[in-house]
Amino acid sequence: MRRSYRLFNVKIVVIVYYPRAFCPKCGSSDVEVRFSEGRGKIFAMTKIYRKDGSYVIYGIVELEEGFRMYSNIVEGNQADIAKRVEVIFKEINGKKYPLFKVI
Amino acid sequence: MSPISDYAMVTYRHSKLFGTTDEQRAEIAVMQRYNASFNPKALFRNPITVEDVLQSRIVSYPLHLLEIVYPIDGFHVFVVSKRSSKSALRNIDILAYGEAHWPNPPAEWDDIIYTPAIESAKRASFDLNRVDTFQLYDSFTITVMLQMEDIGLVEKGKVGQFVESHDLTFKGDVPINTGGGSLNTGQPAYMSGGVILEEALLQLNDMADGHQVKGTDVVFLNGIGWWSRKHSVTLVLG
Repeated sequence: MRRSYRLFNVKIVVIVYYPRAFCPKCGSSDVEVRFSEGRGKIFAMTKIYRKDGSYVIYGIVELEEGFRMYSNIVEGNQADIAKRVEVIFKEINGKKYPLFKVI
Repeated sequence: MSPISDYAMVTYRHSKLFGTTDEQRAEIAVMQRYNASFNPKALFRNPITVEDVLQSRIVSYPLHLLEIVYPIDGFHVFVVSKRSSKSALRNIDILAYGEAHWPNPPAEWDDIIYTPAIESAKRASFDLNRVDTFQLYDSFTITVMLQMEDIGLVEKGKVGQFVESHDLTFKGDVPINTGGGSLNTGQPAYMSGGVILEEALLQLNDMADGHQVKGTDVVFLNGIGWWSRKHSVTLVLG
């Protein structure tokens, strides 16, 4: 009995953050910069307390495009794991930093 | 971010996913302090209660001050000699060994509730029923609990219940960090491998004054390195 096979050349897409010159999974240098919409949800977080009882929220955000990044969560009264967030850019000393707020 | 806030994120996610409570983590601190109270070399020796831990201030939610290791200056010296040397100390074999390195930031791992200990322990592949005491790196209470899961002492997510139903002191059924661990001796120069190795060697030589686990013949050690726990070494001595 004769069978026919079709072979596919599959290119696996891996989304990587932080940006690198090559893929940390397979070593390929065939990488490109893509843009994120900046929406996602909180994957992990902590409130870092100062001595006066105030705190800042730091966490890992899982973006809709499928990568995670460390960032601060601001305006965070409602912040919790699985809560939806979106990016805001805050200028500090002339540089813009991506922070997240709960939506 | 500091090591404290990094582990605090893991702690909160672990409690959110599995219902692990502050009280259960506090039990680790209490049981290790109990062990330390019998260790003349420990820095912190006064017994504490779960309530004491929960009353101590929150440094990075949900980690309390008494769940966090205290950095100190210090060092250990280990002398290795030939098996045939005329030493009063017993010969010790490396019964099993495994290491694992996860170089990417934890945010890129499948989940931050795992540590490379799951891989290093698998490589060591040692029957835990043969182990007399466990010495597990203890930068924080949660660090001990994560390793208890990852080395296979208890299923992932169930460590909270395990802590409640077992006695982890040197007098108990699952002795862990029998000298009080780094949480109570302090963490010399941020390196705690020496703390657990020293305690293992004392236990194996029946020299752990005041906190000896009788008849210790096999000790299971697990060390975790770098501040976001990217490296793990599993070592079984006996």
